[in-house]
Amino acid sequence: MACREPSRGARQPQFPAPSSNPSEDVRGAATPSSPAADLELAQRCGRGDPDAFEQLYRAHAGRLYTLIVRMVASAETAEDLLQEVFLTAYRKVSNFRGDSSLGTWLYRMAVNHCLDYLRGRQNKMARTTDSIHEEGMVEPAAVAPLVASAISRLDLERAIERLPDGCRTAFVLHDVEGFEHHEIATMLGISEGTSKSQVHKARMKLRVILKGGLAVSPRVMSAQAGRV
Amino acid sequence: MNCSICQPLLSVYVDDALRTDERAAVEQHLRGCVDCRALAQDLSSIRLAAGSLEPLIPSPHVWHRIAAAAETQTRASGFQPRWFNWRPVAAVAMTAVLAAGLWRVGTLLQPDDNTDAGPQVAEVIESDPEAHYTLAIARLEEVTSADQDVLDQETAGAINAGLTVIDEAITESRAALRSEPESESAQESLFAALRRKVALLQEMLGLINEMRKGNQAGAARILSEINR
Repeated sequence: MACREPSRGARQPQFPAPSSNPSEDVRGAATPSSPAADLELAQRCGRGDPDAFEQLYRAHAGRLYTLIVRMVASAETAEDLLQEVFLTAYRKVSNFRGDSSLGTWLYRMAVNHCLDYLRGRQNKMARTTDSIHEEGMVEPAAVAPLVASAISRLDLERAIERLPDGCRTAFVLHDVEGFEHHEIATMLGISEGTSKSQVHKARMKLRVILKGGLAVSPRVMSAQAGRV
Repeated sequence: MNCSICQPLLSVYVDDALRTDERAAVEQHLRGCVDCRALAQDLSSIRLAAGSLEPLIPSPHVWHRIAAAAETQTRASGFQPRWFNWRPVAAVAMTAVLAAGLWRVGTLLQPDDNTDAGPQVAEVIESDPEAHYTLAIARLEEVTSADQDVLDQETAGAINAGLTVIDEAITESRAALRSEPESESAQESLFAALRRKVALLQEMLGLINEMRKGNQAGAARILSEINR
């Protein structure tokens, strides 16, 4: 069964309203901050203060990079996108009014850039990933059950990279980043049911990959060969 | 409930998000079905493992690229904050724009940025991908040759030795491409070598900047990156 891509019609995804505590708006916020501190930092960045801009980067780059890498499944592309996110932020930081935390503001921007990139990639390459993945998919043999503590993080990261874009996006947002399905549905412009379905399909594929039941497709081999 | 009805519900089951009646029905089925029980355990393990993935860290050179490109944006807008020395940074920024690739140039060179170089750069990039590396390298070499007296002899010598090795790789790749113009691997090798040269020259300029600012820690960070 093929994973569907996130809604292609939603040009500018809507995000869940920020919570009342800005430091908890986005999962795993790198640095606790107050609305007043965020506003001051944004104003300093807007005035061209290089130290403030670097402070903004140091506080949030790691978290955004982690999200982007997992969404686009490429470290090189993630660095380009991270650069683009911060340059966009640099251009627009004067418009920041503190309605959400700076972390949330940047996070939205990062998700939007990822989705734009994934849509562009889809349009450009007319990817056949789903069919490729399905062709290589075989039921895992009756081996020992997966145990969370025994799943190597590296294996899991690599397995996530091999997911088709659509279900990888939902999986990363739900299982890794901790968003609820209704929040993901709002972000991606899909129904809550579709979000649940995508996450389920991603987990099913990961199960097969982690148990060694997925034949490596030529595309994956090529991608891995190019990633030194 | 049979397996075909139970299995699609298992992800929501392990998320503890089923309605009470659905949950009871799933649990009743699981008590008598080894396969579905194993699947539920695997899905739960994947969910737990994904939730404990560790943050990833972007390469240190990303910040230098961003800072340099931000400086270009600032200068283009006519604002003159205290920042880095403009000349090397402007070249780094131009390179960052170029190296960001075909698909990213539009967002960095906004029509209202009023940058003289914009249209020419875009034309070069669109017409000949190799040319954008060559142009970037030429600009970077121009600046580094003028400013590398800031570096001590040993450091400059080590970097130049690295550049020589890369130049040899470029020459070899071009030769391979001449004998096999359709060879994708030769083309990729050439682009990879050109990218390496751009990256090294960027780091060299970053180093020059830090030395001029007297930032020993920043210089040491870049040096360790170059050495790695």
